[in-house]
Amino acid sequence: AQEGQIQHDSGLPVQVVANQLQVDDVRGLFVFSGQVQARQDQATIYADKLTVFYQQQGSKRQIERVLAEGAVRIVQLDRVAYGERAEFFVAEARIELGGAPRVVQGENEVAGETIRLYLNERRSQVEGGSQQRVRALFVPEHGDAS
Amino acid sequence: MVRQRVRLVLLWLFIVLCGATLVTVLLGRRVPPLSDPVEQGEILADAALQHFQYSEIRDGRTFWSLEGETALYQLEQDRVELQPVTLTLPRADGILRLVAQNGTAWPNEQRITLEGAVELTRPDGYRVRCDRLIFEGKLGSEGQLSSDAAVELSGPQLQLSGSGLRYDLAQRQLHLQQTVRATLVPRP
Repeated sequence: AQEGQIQHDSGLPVQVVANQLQVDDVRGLFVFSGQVQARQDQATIYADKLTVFYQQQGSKRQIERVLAEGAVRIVQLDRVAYGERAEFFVAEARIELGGAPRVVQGENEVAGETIRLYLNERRSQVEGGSQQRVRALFVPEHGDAS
Repeated sequence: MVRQRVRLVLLWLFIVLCGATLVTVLLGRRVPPLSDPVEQGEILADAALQHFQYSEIRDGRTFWSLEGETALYQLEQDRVELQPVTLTLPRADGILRLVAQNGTAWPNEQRITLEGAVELTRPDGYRVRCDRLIFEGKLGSEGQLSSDAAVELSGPQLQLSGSGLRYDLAQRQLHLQQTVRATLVPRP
């Protein structure tokens, strides 16, 4: 597993590539659709649709959260998260994953009903629920097992 | 005797008339059709104007206004060709100003096509650049801008590019239909 330092600067620009875009200046929305890729610092989100919610103050804009939907995959160094839905709270650098979410890091994997991913830490928080109990697979580092 | 002479004269007159008609018909076929004078570099217009300005008033306010250094007005097609052209669209969220090298306007249809280094600017600092942009005043309550050319949009905290632009001026909704690339800066 790559031992790179996990960190995330939520102030950096977000680069997005998509097939289509709808901007709604009144409701403060950017809706990207079609093979969407959005990258900020070390994290890249892949999804069918990405909605960016922003607050407009005069000509200034504050992005508050980003909602990814449909075949969501989030890659940050060696950590990969999957789900059908992911809500990224920009100021807190936190992602809430739903829709059969799971996180894979190297050979380890966790799954549950909801997963909270902290982009500034190597920490994830997994919650079970009526539909999916927490499931975790941890593979000892080679050499640890002896 | 006299009657015979009169008949002879009438006969000759008839022959001459037929001959003249024949010649005219033949001449008419050989002369090439008048080619469109525009192709020969001459501009045929009903009115050629300098420092042209035209405003469309709707409900007591300027809906759009057009300015051009030179303008050629074609009465039959109700079409004005302007060079260079400035289109101004005063709206609730500010005045949109569009400039281009060439513009063609159909005032009755409220449709204006801008071509060549088209640039749109908004008071809040947004700028759109493309090669071709169409304004249609009859679409939506405040008109719609559209372009199938590649467009670039820049503004505070935002860079966009793509193609297939549609912008509804009343809804303030922009749609890019292909090859979208965006850079968003989360905080001012």
